[in-house]
Amino acid sequence: MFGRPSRDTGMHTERNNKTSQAQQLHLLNSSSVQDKINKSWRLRNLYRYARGNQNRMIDMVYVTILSRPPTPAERNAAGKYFRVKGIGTRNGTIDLAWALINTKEFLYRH
Amino acid sequence: MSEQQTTSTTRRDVMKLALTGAAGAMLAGPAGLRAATTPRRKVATAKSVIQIWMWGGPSHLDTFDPKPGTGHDYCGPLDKPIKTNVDGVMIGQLLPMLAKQADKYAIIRSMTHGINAHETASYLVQTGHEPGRQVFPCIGAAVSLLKGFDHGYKGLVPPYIVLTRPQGRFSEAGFLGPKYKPFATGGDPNRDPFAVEGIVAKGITDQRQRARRKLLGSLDALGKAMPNNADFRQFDQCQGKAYDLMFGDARKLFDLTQEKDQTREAYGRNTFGQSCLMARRLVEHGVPYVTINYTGWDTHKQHFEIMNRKLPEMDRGMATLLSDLSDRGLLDSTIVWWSGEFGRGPKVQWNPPWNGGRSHYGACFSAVLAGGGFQGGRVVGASNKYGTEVAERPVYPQNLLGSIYERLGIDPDGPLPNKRGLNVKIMPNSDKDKGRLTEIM
Repeated sequence: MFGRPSRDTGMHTERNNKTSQAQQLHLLNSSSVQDKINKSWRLRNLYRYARGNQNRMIDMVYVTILSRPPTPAERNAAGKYFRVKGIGTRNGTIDLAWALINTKEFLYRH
Repeated sequence: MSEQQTTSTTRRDVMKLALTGAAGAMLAGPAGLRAATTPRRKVATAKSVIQIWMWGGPSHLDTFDPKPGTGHDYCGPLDKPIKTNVDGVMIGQLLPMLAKQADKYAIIRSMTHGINAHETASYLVQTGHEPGRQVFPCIGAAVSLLKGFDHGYKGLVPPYIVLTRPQGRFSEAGFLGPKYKPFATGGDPNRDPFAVEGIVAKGITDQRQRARRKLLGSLDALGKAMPNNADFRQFDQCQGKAYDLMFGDARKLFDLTQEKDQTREAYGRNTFGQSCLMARRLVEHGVPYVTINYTGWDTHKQHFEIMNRKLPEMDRGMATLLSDLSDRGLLDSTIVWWSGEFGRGPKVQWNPPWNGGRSHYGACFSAVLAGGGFQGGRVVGASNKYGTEVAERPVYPQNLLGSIYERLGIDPDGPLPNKRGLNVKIMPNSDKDKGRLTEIM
């Protein structure tokens, strides 16, 4: 993953921080990543705890994944997503977590 | 007289020296010399390979090398093999559809390697190497390297695809590295939707996929803060390409509802049949190597019950694949290779605990090659009366793999490029014993 050499060679020159289409596909859409998000006890607790208060939930997902609170614009964008037709609070939380895991900030900084 | 002989020897020596001297221009030399002595044309005839991998080792007696007249001890209830549409060739009675397509394939009845362990045999048959210090790539991975993105392949999907579960380290990229591992689709092509790993997410509607993609776009704070970062631009490109795979033509490629119901029925509404159909679609698209991992052939117990259940399924899928490829003009450029890691014991084990099973048998077994420039309607080699030993023309995995490489236009004696600095041929010893399958090339 992520431009790293295979474990048994450890060749330094093979390191680069470039992503590849295959990695992106895995992060965006693989069943293993999606399962991990769906089954995450942490997210489930978060959802149960903050269910009544959407803003609070958004804040907590941000802090959990990116170790920072969202900016007002980000909170806004996330809130809008929850109101999209067919996306409930539960799926909204899952998808927010999914999105944050796929941002450059998460992948390059965490 | 002797003068003439001396002259011709000298000239040949000079040619040899000149050619081997130009070691840097490797491929031209030895091939040129061999062409002078072998009349066979070394021209690429095939563009793709569909490997039907009979995981577990299929019984050769009950499929392509029947032994009528050897009695219940060897045949069990399957003692009435059937004629094919090729004079003099008979195959197992549970393969009537394949019997009508025998003009399209060649049966090799003298495969041998003598190994009865699944892992070692799987590795040997698919890489042509016995286990050692290095893990060699299987032929799929080598073809993925030599005919893939580095050599002009422009398909939407990776050049080496496995339907549907990968076999793991016994048939993978070895020292070539993870870039040449197969893309295993996962999922089941007989289900709608065919949940191809990474392309079709189970339980997430299209609408939700698109909506959350928009969400992702609007939350990209770091990206927006550093618009000129080259790594980020490459990141976006890759993400864009990944989405193209998810929503675009790649998705359509894996969508079997695009085929007529009639076609889907013809292949058989089961995982194997639909995998054969999927393989046809993939080679139509230009994928150079597709492996169908067909499991369940390790029949130590209930052998004949399982044959009764599985052989008709295999018959329908494989026969329809051959005729469909042929109808679409794809058979000439597509090699279809049917084989397992070994065959199964000709003498049935009627005693407990097997109660009617067949053991592993690597001393003598069968393989089938069709299309891609291999001549159909032929039989290569022969086994003895009971199918226990090779009687004529032994064929080793190296011979068979070397023949496939040759038909793909890859010189088996050429160097295998790799990042380990290893100086190895693509298929060493492809001329082992009786050599490559020139009889059908």
